Amino acid sequence: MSDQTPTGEQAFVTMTVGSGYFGVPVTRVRDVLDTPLIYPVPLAPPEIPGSINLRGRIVTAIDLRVRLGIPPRESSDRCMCVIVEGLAGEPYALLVDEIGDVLTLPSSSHEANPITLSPTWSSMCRGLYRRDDSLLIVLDVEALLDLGSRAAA
Amino acid sequence: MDDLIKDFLSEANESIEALDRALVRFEREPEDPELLSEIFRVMHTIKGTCGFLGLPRLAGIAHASENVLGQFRDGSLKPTQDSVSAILDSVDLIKQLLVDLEASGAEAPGDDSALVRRLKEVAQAGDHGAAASPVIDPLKDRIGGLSSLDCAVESALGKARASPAGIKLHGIQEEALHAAIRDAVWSGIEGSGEKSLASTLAAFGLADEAALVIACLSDGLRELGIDSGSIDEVLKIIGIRPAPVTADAAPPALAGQAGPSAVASQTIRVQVESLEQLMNVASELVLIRNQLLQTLRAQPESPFAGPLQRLNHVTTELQESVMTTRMQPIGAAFAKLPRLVRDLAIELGKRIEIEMAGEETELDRQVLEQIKDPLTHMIRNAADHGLETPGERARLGKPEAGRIRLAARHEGSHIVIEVADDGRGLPTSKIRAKALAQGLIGPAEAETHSDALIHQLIFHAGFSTAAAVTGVSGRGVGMDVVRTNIERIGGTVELSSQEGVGTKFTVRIPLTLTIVSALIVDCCGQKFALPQSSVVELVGVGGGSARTIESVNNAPVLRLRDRLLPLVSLEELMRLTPTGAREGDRCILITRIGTFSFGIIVDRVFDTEEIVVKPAASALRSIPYYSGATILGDGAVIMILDPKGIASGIGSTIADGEKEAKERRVTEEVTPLLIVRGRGPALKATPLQQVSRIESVASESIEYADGRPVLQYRGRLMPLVSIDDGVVLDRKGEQRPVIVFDDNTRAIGLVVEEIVDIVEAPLRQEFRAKAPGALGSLVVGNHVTDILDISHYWRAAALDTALATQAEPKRRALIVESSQFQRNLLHPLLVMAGFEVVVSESVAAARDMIEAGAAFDVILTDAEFAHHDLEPHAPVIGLHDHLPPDSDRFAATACRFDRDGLLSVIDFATRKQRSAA
Repeated sequence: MSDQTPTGEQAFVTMTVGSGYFGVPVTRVRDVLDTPLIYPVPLAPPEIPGSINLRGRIVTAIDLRVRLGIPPRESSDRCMCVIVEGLAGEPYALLVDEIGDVLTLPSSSHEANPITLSPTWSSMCRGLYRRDDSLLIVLDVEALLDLGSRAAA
Repeated sequence: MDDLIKDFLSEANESIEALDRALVRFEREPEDPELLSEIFRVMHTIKGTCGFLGLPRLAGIAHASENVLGQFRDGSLKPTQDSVSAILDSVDLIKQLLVDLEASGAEAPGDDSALVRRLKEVAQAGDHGAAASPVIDPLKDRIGGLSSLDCAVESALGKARASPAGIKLHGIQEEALHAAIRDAVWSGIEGSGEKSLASTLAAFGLADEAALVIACLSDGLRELGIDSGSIDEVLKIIGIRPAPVTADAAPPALAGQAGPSAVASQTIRVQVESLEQLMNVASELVLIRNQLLQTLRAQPESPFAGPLQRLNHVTTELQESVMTTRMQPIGAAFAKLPRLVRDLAIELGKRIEIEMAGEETELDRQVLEQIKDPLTHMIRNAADHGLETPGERARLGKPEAGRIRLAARHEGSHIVIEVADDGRGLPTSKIRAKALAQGLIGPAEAETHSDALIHQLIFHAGFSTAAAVTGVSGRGVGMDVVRTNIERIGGTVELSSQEGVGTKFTVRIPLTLTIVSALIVDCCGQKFALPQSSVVELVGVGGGSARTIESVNNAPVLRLRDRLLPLVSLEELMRLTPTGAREGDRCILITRIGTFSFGIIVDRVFDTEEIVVKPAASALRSIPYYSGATILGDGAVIMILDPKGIASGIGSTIADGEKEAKERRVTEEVTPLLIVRGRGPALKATPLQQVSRIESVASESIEYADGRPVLQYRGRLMPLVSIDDGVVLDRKGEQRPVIVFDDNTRAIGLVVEEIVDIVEAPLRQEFRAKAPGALGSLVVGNHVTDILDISHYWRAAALDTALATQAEPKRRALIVESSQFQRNLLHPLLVMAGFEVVVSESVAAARDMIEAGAAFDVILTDAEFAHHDLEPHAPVIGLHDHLPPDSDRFAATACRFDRDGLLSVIDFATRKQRSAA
């Protein structure tokens, strides 16, 4: 993986969505926002609650709760988002419940997706890391952003 | 790719465009010395640069062309159409090579000897003409004259500049230095010895670089293929002259050259991407400014008010300056048109003059790219359909040369381009008839539509009135493409035409695509932007307004003046939920897409705002109703509505006449049929396209010749035939409908009892023919209807024998059709046209026939058949049920039911065949 350092470690921005604990490689994250103002887009797919104005750039928001099939949060709840870029440099905002620390994890603690993981999740997860008190699930950014193929699957 | 090659490409592409245009002008104004030297200079630069970059093909062609141009310049050769064509051909080849070079980074291998030989022949003709030219110095001759020396100097300077020792050569006025060196060497060779190379270089402050320049020059000469003996001689001449260092030795060329180089140093080449980036940043700045201004409005006493006002001005200025950097004169799009017109004129055998105005009008380069194709299309159309042949024009008392006028000008934030010709104008009646036959308009509309409305029909996909498909146009694609392309960039196209006087297209396009003026609307609390260019009118309904929304079978409609407009509710379309109770009055945005108008119902219209269009996120592109997104002054992100997408997205609820007619033709392949009745209730039908006219004839005007009923019709005698024995021709005081079938040489009138209807139905045979005069029967709208066998009536009018005695030898046609019904339809048509007709059920059977020795002048076959084996024997015409798509698999294609079209295609193909044979 290109995100890996030579020593076999990788840094992740950690986040919680529902009861899940997830990580996105730190090199993919462009920005972090707290409770952004989301402008709804009528007729957009359910995963897309709308667009965000990030200093003059239009960023498409993707709600990870909907994307991962987790029950939606209350509208009054606080939410945060990480800005990532898609393949064509198009910016997307991943809406999560809360953003945690940046963790550097050794590749020795990396495991493949358990085969019991649901097909929806296993298509969007790239294995997980064993930690003392929890499991960190690595999110596959490209797969998250690819809304078209999920609809086809 | 090499940076040098990249630079060369971008420069060469620009100059070669200019060359095309200059050459065409030159052909007409051969006396203009400035024009010629400009042409010469461009060709020369290409030659020199190519020599330096090691591109032998390009250099070779440019060299040969330059020789011819050189002879034009010194007057030893008079420019003719042939010689200019040869140079234009070499320009084309250079263009092609440049394209290849751009794609692959290397010159494509190939053989240009034929073209080079042709250019040499042209040049030799000039040499013979210039018999009185002075005796040529042997050395001068051996190095290929001044032009070849010039080329060597150019490449030498390039090399010298590229070498590390040549650092001082940078920043020196290139052209002046080049000319000075060339002149110095030339004077040495000529023996006049006015200036030495060393003193020339010293004058430029380059005394130390003399050795380098001389070495490079010798390389340059060698590359041009000059033998080493001559090179040594040249070196000796330029090397042995001492350098008298004088202060006043500055070459006179320097003063003359200062002008152009000073201009050159004021422009720099910038990557388009950097400009785009600059544009994006400027756009964002505009948005931030808007945001600040909006915030400030709430606090008029703010200390920021002053600085913000200045920021406002500066930002506006910045935005405008950035916009102008992207602007290019429209002349760039016009540049290749004179060449196009020249070639079209030769191809079509017409004389055409093109006149251009407003070339300096500037517009965004993105828009410029998008209008090049439509412009070309319109010029082609004007040349092919619009303008008459010189003979025709002379008869009409017009000047023999047709005139196409292109004009561009600014009008507000739009640019207006007019393409006008002084040709024959649009044939209104022909378009009317054709549109009716193709089902684009109904019979009632054909009656009531104004000429201007009828003219609009030429923008329909697949519509063409050209009798024959020519290489230039007439395939029924073109005007719809023009309109689509122009509408895609938010423009409009209008046309006005007067028969016999000319046609004028007026294209109106926005100056830029990135910033548009839009209406901000609100529906259920959700804001949208709608480009103002697509909104024709705003109508208030409900509440205080007199107008209300009515509904037809739950579909909302609006009565506006004398029209009924279909409406779309944005609330329903976007599946929005109303916020609270509505006050009653709403707003309708009347939108027009091509000829189709509809209204969009919204709650409120705020105002117009200049918005920066950003592309919609890829995840949202599947929604057809949006063309992009934008950020408003208050920072809100809203979607930009695409009226075109809305119109197509609601196709099922709104009858989009245009679209429907087209779809029906494609999916069901229906044919318009004329339904008539003889005596008794039985219905008979004939494809409308076989019918020339329908007349009402008083029985008094029927006369008899040789015992047969005839009618004096348009200066001819037309035999009349009764559709069946029951229809009496001469009952006093009655009018009878007569269907006229006319093949341009002869006509018959079929007398019927009643014209019942014109309907569209798929032409499928359901029953075999049971009686004479019928080809078969089919079901049209629940009634069994006989299809008339027109050949039966031609026979009845005893015309078959008359046709058979035509002077021309009988042409033989082969019909390859699997359907008996289609064969029966085609057979009489071809017999009437004087063909001897043979039919075959399959390609294989046809092949056997040909192999057995049968010869044909033309073969007609279903466009779906594989026909390759038939092709060598005769021109093959592909037949379609509906209008043919662009297909070059056949010698020609035609629509099966379009009599006139089919016959003219056959005529064209056979005549071509005969003249070839």
